[in-house]
Amino acid sequence: MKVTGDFYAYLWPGLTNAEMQAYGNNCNSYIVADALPGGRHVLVDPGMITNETGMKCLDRLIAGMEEDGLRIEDTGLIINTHAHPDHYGASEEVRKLSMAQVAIGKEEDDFVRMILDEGESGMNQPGFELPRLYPDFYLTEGDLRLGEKHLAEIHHTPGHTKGHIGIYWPGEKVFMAGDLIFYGSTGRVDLPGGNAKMLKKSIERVAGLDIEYLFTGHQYGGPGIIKGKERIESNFNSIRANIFAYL
Amino acid sequence: MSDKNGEIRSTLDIVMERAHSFGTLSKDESRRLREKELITAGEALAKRYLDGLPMREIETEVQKRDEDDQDMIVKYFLSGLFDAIDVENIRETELALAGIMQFSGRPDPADKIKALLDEYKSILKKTWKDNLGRLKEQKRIELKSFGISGSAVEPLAENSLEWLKIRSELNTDYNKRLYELKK
Repeated sequence: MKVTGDFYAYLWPGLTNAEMQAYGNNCNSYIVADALPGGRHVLVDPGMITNETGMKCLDRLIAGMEEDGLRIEDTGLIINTHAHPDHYGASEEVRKLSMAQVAIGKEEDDFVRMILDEGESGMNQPGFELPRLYPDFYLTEGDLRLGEKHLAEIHHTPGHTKGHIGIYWPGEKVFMAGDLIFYGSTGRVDLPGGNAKMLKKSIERVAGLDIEYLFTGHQYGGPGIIKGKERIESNFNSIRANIFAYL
Repeated sequence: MSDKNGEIRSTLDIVMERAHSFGTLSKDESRRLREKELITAGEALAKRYLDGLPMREIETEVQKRDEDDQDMIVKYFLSGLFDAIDVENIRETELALAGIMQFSGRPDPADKIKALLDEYKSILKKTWKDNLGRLKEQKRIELKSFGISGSAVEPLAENSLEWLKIRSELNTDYNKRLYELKK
């Protein structure tokens, strides 16, 4: 679904409890089309290949892109906001299909390696194998220039995970939040690497940006994209008032 | 289902016939079957050990077997551990070596393998250090050619094609030497 300019969204169903149960977990994926030379796209958070309910998440993303005239094979860069499998799980599979470059925050890569090498953490349990990730580069706080058209800012937004990043596109006033903030709620802080104090700090930092489109990582009972400066501000206020005290 | 005489035989008939034939196995066939079972048991124990089963559990498992079978199981347990030795999987290799040393009670050839692995790790570290700057710069140039640049980009050398090639050549060389020691 085209949102604005070259920005496309592929939202995982979850607006209602019934939808959440029927579709299971996966993240929202976003595309910045034709951002790189050769008409190649940037894909933010590819999601999983298949989730816990057996839903073929990657096939659904590919089909959604095709409806918009975009091909997964034309992906030139995959950015993962953080190293939870529901966000980066299909990363290497998309790379195979497209030969895209893969990026993530350094601490996130360290986290995946620690789990895979040591078999630590409850995330690597029998019957569930953490997907591999072989990044080509890390993304740290700073500017990300993509082709001739786009300049993005990478914001280190720890709290949900240690090396979580958000991507701000000042030209279009789009912020891709990953699992930092949702409609009316925030990312969990009780998983390994989570930190409530850091999450609040990251949210306050992002609240200071000039955002017209807030692209969130999930539709947990609310819309995945919040449009309009006022509604976005109101969402930040509601989270401060209703969620911060419980973090 | 029909046989060559056109008689209809059920699956049960066939199973019963085969089960019956077990009773008439020659001594040689029985020995071979038994040996096959012990090989599988030994190799399975090696796999479980490498997956994290503690050594004392392995010893208990072996002791549960008939005394006559224990040597054969240990032989194939050790063989499974030798097979797991590979420079591309240092963690598993070190675990395998510890198992070999403890179970065989013989420091040789595990000591020689350990020395070779230490040499490999040291050479790998040096090669990485010598090439890191160049590989990172090369990756930065490659990313730029894909239209990706900026202060947020920190190129990674270890997944670059050139480093994988350098490492693979080193691994091939050391795996050859390991193979000689394992023989």
